Amino acid sequence: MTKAIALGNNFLLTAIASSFLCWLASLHPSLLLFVQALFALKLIISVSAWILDDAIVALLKIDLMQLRFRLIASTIGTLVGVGIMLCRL
Amino acid sequence: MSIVKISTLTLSGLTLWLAPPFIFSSKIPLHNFMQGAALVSGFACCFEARRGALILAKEEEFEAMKERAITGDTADELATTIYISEQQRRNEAEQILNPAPNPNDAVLLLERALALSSSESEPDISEPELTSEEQELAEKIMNLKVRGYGKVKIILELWGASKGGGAKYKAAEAEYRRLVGE
Repeated sequence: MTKAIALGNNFLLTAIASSFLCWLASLHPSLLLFVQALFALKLIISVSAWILDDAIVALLKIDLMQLRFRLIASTIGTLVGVGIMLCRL
Repeated sequence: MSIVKISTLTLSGLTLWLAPPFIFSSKIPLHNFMQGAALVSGFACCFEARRGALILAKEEEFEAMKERAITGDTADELATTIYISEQQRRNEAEQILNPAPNPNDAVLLLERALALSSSESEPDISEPELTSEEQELAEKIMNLKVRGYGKVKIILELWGASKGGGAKYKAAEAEYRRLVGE
């Protein structure tokens, strides 16, 4: 139960962080560029992690399924966070 | 940190994340600022909730481990007690089935044995006294026997020699016999 709550909070943290970045991007055009660069960096890291999953699994000493779960959860969390801010008033 | 506190923090974080974008307008500066502040607060709530949940999960795991250890100990103790009582009952049954000879006969036998031993001129053939290490080993053997271990298993346990192990096993077996007095 508590582990599930911790996982749920991980997801919320990712979503809230991406929402916050979106909010920052809405403040100033230069901040928008900065946030875009951050999201691009995140995308590159995620794609690299998908490609180099075996090396990362050995490095972090975690299960392959766990790594995939984390990558998927973080991607969905980011998309949800961005989506919420795009749908706001 | 209790589960209630963790749940409250999680719900607060969720509310602080989802409500402001749909309540406040992004066109009014104060509202926009409030949105940012709510997002930061929501992040902090979720972070604290996650930390608490992880600590609680670790504590629960430890408690479960402790409980398992206690249950295992109790089961082991019960099994030993049952085994010992069973052995005692078996001994009692054997004594009933094969009663000891008449006490008078026993006294006669003892006297005869004493007379024989005192009249013997041969050197003393009683077992040499055991060293403290050997006594310790003998005690260990007795403990294992009480637990229901057989000879082969005891030799494997104490000398690390398995049956069919050749000279090592034979040496261990001879030592075992000497200590047990077989």
